[in-house]
Amino acid sequence: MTHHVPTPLLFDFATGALPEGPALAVTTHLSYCGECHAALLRLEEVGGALLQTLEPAAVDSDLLSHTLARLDESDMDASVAEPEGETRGLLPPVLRPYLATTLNGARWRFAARHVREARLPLANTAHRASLLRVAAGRPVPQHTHRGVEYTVVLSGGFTDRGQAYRMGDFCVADPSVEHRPVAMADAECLCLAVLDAPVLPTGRIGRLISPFLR
Amino acid sequence: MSLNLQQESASSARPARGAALVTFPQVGYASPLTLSSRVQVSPMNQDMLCDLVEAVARQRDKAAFARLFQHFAPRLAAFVQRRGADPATAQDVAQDAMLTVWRKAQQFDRSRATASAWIFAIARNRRIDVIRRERRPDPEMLIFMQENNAPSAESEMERSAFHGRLHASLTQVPANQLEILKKAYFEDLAHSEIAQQLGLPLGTVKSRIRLALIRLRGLLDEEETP
Repeated sequence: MTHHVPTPLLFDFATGALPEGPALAVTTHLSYCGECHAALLRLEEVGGALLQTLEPAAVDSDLLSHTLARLDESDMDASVAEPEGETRGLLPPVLRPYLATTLNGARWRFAARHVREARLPLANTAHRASLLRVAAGRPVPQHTHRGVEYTVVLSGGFTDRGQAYRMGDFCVADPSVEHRPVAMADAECLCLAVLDAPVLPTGRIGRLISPFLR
Repeated sequence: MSLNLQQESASSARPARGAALVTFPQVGYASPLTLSSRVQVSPMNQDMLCDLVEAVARQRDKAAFARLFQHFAPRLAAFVQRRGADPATAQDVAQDAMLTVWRKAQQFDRSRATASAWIFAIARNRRIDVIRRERRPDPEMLIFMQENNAPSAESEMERSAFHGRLHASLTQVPANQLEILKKAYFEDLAHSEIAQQLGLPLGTVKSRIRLALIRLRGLLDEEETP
């Protein structure tokens, strides 16, 4: 793991400020990165310490008894059904609730030549989250960005602007970045992409369709 | 107890870069920004809180739960009210968070977090769920294929020292940095939103948060780039 979540982004996640889409990119990276997870736990300790400094608010005198009465009904925690086969191995648990089916059963559409996309339904539609599959050794057509794009590698890898991104790596691109990421030659690259605005194709050749041209 | 603004040792008292410390001198003495000493929890008490969560996990101990509730529910209600929720909603979220504590107590691991931090994270997620209608993964869902699993490598003593230091050093964070930390944690405002609200450049907000985290020693390496 060489590319981590930038500290300000991790901080905004820890405080709860980060919207759902970027938060999903962060937690996906954390699923692979004990180092960033440890950093998050330290930031949550700050939250815990600040919580202790708050002047307690008044609560109803019977709130405790009402809560105690509800303990037995809420005793069992419904566990999420474990996905099967390929999904289980490849998808971190934080992504599984967004995919109703197995990885192969998802609705994959071509977003560009060699690039397939499956949308993940976010409650907060300010961002668009997708799983992308890029064929081994193939590029994502050259593009720049109208907003910020977060990418996390789930399997395989890609190279971009002289850097290699492998499983768990976190990549940020913004309007200052024009790039043409290329999947590594040995395997298909599966990644999570979160965008707050459609990307802007700039290449002469590849024509991007969804999610890029809407 | 008033806010202690004295400088720490030379190593951590590097001059701030840019405009980080030059604006808003008046907030240094505003009472809402000073920490109330009577609600400070010493590391010993934090250990007791951890014991209580473990009693809930292992014995399903309702008396232990009631003590946790009495300690945390009013603070969680205050926490949610700071985000702008009305008292009734805040109380609902506090109750909801405490029910989550009851259900998830088995997942609490004191080698990774204090009870306060674990409950903070639960309440933060419940707040997001109820107020913003978004979901956040439960903490245990982050465990997947992690490299360098640092937390478990720390010794009990190191962790205890870290938490003692954290609580103590909170009182030494300068007021203009503490104000921003509280805005971030209590009002769930992002860097950019805080900058907008306070009329400060984004870079100033970033550097104040960075300086505050450096001051809370052990949280952020001084050498780390922002």
